[in-house]
Amino acid sequence: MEEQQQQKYFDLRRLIGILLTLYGIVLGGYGLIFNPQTDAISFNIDLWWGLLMLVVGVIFLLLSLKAPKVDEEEE
Amino acid sequence: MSGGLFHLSAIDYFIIIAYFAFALIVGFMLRKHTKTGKDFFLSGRSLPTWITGIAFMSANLGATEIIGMSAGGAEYGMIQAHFYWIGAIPAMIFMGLYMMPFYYASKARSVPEYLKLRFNEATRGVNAVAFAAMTLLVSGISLYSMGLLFKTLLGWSLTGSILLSAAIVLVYVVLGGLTSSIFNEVTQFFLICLGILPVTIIGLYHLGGWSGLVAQIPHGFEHTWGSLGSSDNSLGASWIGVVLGLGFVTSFAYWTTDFLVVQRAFAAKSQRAAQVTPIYASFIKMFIPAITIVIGLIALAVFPHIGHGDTSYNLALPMLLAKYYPVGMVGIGVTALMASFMSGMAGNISAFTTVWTYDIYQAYFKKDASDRHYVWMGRVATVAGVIVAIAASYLAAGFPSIMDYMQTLFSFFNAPIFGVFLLGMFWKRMTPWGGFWGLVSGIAFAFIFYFLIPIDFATPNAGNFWRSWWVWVVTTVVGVGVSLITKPKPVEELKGIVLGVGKYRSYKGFSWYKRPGVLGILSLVVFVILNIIFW
Repeated sequence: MEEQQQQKYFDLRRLIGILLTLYGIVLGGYGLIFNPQTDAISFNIDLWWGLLMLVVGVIFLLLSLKAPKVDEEEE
Repeated sequence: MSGGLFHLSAIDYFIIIAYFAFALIVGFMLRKHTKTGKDFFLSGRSLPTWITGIAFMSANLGATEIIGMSAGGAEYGMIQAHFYWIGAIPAMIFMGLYMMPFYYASKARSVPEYLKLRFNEATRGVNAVAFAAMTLLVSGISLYSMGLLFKTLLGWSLTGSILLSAAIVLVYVVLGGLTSSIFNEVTQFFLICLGILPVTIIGLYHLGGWSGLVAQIPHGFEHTWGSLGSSDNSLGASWIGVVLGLGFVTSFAYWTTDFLVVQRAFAAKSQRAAQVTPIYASFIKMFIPAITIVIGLIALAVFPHIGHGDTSYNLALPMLLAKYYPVGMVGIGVTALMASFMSGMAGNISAFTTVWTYDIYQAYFKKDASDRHYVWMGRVATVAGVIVAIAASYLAAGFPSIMDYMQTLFSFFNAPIFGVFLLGMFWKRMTPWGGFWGLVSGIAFAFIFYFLIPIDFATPNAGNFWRSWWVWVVTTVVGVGVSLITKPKPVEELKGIVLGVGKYRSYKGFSWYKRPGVLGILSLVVFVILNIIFW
């Protein structure tokens, strides 16, 4: 039981999910409001890449909801 | 804040600080988890395979690598991709299929410990001391290059950024040991992909796709094998040098015996998982040129004068970041580089800590202390290691090319180890003293070759390829020679750790995606296809 608790706590999928979701919201939100530009390209990179990071982050969070698979594999 | 390429705004600082806060919080959480020596040094052999696979690959994907390899792409062209393809993939597959079973079965906690089981205490001692020294030198290189990067990009002072980075790595590794550095490695891998990949995408879009890019770089820069018929190319080596020196010795030596990377597979939860670890890693490794070499080519097309005058090739990636990234994305890009630097450094420090504690301190200073004592010693070694690395960073500052310096260190030290391993794992007649003298003569010959034999190679790369090759030949000849006149170890002591005494397990009956052999062949196929596309 404690083992399982620990695995959930340290599930790397969840940690990465949290970080990327946060970055996605911050970056995408910033792009949406300020639409910063560079001279090389005309589309809103912050917004689009922020959305992509948000999607990746949410996918990781969803994956982490699945119980960690315990492989009963003999050594 | 003056004189930098970038001007960070509040949002960029927020993104950077959020990452460090995240890394430190994870470190604190892991501290509770790290109770025994096995937890601290080997992650309790419990990590899922996808994690060890990514960690195996990204243990060598530090910022030095990203910056250095994109510089290489701008200087040498697509030919530089050999470091990722023939210089990595065959070795990683071989490691998973043929060497990992012996490593894992030996239950060794480190590469030197395997050498002790297979050969003797003396062989282990030589390897442990040399490895500890090399790791700290390499840590110094990453500290220095990161300091330099922040100085160029942000206008921070060199000493300030070195000390700040060292402090963060220190806190992080002391808290969580190997698990925290593996966690950091995996997280930074995703950050690097998401933070750097837009440069490639925007660049290719900006230049009109791959064909548009090829049209704007020097003729032949898009090929990997095309100009290797003679040594009259940017690399200064023919295909023989590339295949023997890079593809065989340098690459096998690094990917199969460098404890920094091998340690990642030791953390896997079963033998099968440990075998699959480097093969998973090979699939990712093959595509890393997209965010290193290709970025170098884009930089060359966008800034045709790079490498001449006062713009160094090392600025290939930073200059593109500054050109393509708006506020916000700059924060992500800088965070990715910082994270990858920290991960490289943390990996080196945790490998140093393990080897120092088990293979030097426990072996020669204090044999039978409690597990707690060794965990404590591990933390002390981490602090000491970081301090030495800071000193070594000023040493690295004295070398003109950091990548060449690093490759030279590898050719000195990894090539002889590889010679000894290859014989030791696959020839049970190899004797303990054969291993010892092979190793010592190989290292000695590397020094003699480098300092005393005056051969002018076309490039430092060509020199490293050929030196590695001849060092390996000397190690093997001496190893075999001494083995023939000394007494081998009794066969019972070699059980499971040498071919012919142990045997390979069959994974028939597992689903195909779990079988190391099937995955290995798949990886090899993709590798061949990539080489044909970019011949």
